[in-house]
Amino acid sequence: MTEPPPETLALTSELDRLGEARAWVAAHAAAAGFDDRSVLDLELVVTEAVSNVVRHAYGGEAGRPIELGFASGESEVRIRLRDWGGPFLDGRRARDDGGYGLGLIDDLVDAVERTALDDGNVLELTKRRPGGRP
Amino acid sequence: MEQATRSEGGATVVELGGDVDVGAAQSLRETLADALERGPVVVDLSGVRFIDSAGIGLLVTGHRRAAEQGVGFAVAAPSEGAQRVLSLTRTDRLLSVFDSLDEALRAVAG
Repeated sequence: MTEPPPETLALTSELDRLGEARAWVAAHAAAAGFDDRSVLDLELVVTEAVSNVVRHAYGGEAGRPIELGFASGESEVRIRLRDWGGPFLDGRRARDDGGYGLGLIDDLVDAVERTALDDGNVLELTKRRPGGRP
Repeated sequence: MEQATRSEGGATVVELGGDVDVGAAQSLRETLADALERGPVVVDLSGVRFIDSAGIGLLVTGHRRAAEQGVGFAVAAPSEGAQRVLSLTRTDRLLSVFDSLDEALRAVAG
């Protein structure tokens, strides 16, 4: 069966838009059948990921593009974060939060794939749907 | 993020609500620094729907500064969402976390 195309949200690199990213992901995750705790976990993952992009890929510069994608498959959902900033290792340089963001993304999803492109970065996160097989 | 500060039981209670994320970090950093200058601090997390690693990092910074100054610093009544992130980051073992505001006030006053 062909998976539906991913939904996307166009953001810009302001930290005060994190709530918008959270609400968007939460709505999609709830529609995909995740319980409240898993929805909150995905909100946390997206918050950490987007704030890493703003602070590290874009060095805190406002107004730069960020594209957030959400795709529901039969057994999993995939969240995709695309930026057009400088290369960075997501999370690994984020020491200014006291280091507590380290590992949160990896701990809360089932697979993380980080890709450095010539013109930016892609972070792809996969989380099994409730009842989805490993 | 909503925040309110009041004096109670010899401490400054910083009551937080809503979403505590990196976008609100600067404001919270200043609030905690100001409160610590006055003495013991209790941060009430009962109204927090969401907190990220930046928010957790500020609580840890507050805890460390309070220890340096020799004053009490406690976290009170974390909501389910806040408790989840405290556990995930294992900072619930580092910070002084109490189920109720009264317990936290007694702890910092002692």
